Amino acid sequence: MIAQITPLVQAADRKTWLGAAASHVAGSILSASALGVVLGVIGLAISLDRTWPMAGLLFGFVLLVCAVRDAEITRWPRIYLRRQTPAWFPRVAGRIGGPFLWGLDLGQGWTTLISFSGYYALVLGAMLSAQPFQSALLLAAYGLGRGLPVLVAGLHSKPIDTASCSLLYFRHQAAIQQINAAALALTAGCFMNIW
Amino acid sequence: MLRFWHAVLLLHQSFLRLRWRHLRVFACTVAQFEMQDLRKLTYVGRIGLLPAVALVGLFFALGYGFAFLSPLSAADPTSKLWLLLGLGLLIGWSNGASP
Repeated sequence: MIAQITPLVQAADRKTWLGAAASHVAGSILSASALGVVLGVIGLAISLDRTWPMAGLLFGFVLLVCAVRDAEITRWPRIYLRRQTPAWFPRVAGRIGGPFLWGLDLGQGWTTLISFSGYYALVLGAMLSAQPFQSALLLAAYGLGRGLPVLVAGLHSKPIDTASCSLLYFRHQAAIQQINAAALALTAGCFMNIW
Repeated sequence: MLRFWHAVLLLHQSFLRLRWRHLRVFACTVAQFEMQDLRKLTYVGRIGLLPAVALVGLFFALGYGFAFLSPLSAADPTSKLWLLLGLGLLIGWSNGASP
């Protein structure tokens, strides 16, 4: 998305870019929150809240499994839809509506490539909480995180080369994976009452 | 980069002498640093990893802060919620920054 929306700063004007980036972030938060509500309702419907102590332990275990996967100690296949978000959204919905639709699509998480396995733990956590509002809040944080890099990338005073941006990302992907693994392990420790 | 170390030096001096004048100079220098140099940081600025880690660190600090300060300790659901919000933000950011 950085490569799609950021060039608007150069091609159009700053106001258009800001509108596009903001609508992308809004769409992402909205979509992720909706997913959170659905997961919370599912958890509530199957009465997961009654078995919370065990669920907490299970959640902690899944967090650890994801931490191990992100640290590349073990490998297991990540399940996601092998597709990309459609490039024709801006042609149909315009410069502001298009990024909003991209946000709606990407905010779901599972509809495109999942690069970090912690997403599965988040989904499980949202379901196990069995509280629609709390689940919505949790996934909204995911949606906000998902959309914000687009906003940050466009804040540069000088035009940025999105190709070199991608290259730099891949060069530092291992470090990002380690940060994710550490955060997952820390959270797992809290849920399993290790510390 | 020179301005950054200048700001660090001023902060050090400010804490030693505890004078408002130094603190004011420090605040101005930091503001200048943030406006100009922060945007020029190559990698972290471009994909927003620095603000992501700072925000997530804040959430984790809040989460663990609540856990240690609360009489319920780690059983306190507030601390767990903060941790999960931080985690959600980090995972979202990691996925969102990927090309």
